[in-house]
Amino acid sequence: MRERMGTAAALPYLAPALVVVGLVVLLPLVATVGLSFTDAARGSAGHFAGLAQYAKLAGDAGFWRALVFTTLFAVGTVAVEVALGLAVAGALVPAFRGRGWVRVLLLLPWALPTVVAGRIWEWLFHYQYGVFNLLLAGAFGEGARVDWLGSIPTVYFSLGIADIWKTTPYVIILALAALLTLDAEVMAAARLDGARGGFIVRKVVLPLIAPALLIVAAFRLVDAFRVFDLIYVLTGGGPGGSTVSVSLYAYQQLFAVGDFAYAAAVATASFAIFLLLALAYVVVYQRSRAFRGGVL
Amino acid sequence: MKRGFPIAVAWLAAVFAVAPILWVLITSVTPAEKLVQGRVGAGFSLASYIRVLSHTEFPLCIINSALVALLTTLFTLALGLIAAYALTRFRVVAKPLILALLLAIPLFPQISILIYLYLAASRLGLINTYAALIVPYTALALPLAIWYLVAVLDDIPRDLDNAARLDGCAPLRTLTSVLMPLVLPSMVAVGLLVFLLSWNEFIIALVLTTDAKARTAPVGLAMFQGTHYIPWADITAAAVVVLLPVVLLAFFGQRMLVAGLTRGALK
Repeated sequence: MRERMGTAAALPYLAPALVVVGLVVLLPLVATVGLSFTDAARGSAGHFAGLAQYAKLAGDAGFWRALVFTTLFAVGTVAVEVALGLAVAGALVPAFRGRGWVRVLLLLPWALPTVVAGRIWEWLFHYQYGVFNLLLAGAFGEGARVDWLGSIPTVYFSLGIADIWKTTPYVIILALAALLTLDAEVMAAARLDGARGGFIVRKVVLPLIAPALLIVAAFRLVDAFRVFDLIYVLTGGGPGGSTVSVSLYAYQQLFAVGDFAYAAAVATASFAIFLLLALAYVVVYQRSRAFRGGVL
Repeated sequence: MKRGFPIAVAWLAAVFAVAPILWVLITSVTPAEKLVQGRVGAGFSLASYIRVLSHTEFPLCIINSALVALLTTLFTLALGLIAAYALTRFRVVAKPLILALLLAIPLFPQISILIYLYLAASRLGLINTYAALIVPYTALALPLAIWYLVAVLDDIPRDLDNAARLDGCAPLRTLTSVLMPLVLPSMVAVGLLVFLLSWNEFIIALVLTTDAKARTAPVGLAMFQGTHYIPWADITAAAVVVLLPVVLLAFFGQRMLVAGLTRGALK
């Protein structure tokens, strides 16, 4: 009876899920890496080309520009989102009249499609009819209009605001869940010991929710690094290619240029970045655990 | 004062979250001739909705999205439940490793599989088919369902299984008639989340559909040009049509969505 419950017996139940994941995730991952070592392009099957695509990648200013932009975008937005999300989550811990409504309303930007968010902000930032420029022109005259999406560096600010609007709710939801798991007794004990608000936040609350915050920040960071939808809708990578992300760059190589092998090399690079971030998270997580283990 | 400040912060955040959506809603019911004057909110007209829903291919996109999201949800729940059953009721080698690898799947850049998926789907003639979307969506949603359902099944005492086995229940029968009634609420929660993610997905649908009639709602909305001299009357109407089901889901399924989200991430 015992051996019936082993891995072999479990396989028929696991197989359907594993087959789907293998077919859609593992096989394409490996095949994409393989494709990046060829010179395949639209209309040509291609041959083995060694590291030719990676040599091209190393010297491609367009790729490096996309990488720098994506890094700054990811780090900048996630830093603001985590700080802002934590602050709002903290404000939602004590009960007040209408808290349920606030929570539902805060869920909305997270829940709606990123494309819708992109269209919403495209409309708000519209040069002629957007609400910001209508207000500016009404208050200070026509000359006060700002080209929110068509000028550098304003476009970075506009993209950042749209992304912060869309994804801070995610941080709020998860930070609030972490805050609500805090032991009421620990908090009461800290207060009995004479600790004050700021001290409790810094020395009791933050260390206790640090692991949860770390994973939220990690999730957000890898998600921001693959940013595509928002930029595709809001700027299309413009003006002048200033907001092309790594994912958008690979997409352009695939469709606009038709260079399959090079697109695969860019995609492989973006997967390598993901692996590095995942690895960095694991290292930081282990360190912080070791650190807390030493203290407690 | 001390209690007032957090409440002000909370409401400010809520207003910041909702105001852009409301502005788009108001725009969508503003007559087009008022919009060109920059007078958003002057007058009321449903003309944009009527144009979008009767003179464009957009209704097809909505139907495509609904069917793809529904079928993805059903497949994900079915495959996810039996996989979670195997992971909790059998002693599977490397179970922590399998779970850790699964966690990475919804997080890695989609572009790193999408180029091959596009080339393969082209070769197999699957571009513009539901299957080309449902299979990848299911694969990317499965880890979420498995993580959630593993946590739920782990909480159900094994005595129930043993009792069912002594009564002569085969494993699959145990799952469907003993365990499933107990995990049904959790399946609804995770199902809502999967439906939402499929409804919202963009980049895969963008790459794997080329025909305007095969597009999903987000792709249709991204490509939407509008049919009028000021297209924004129509674009905002289309945006509201896409976000309406999401808003309903958020209002009526809030608890389950938050449970699905936090349980998947923090456990």
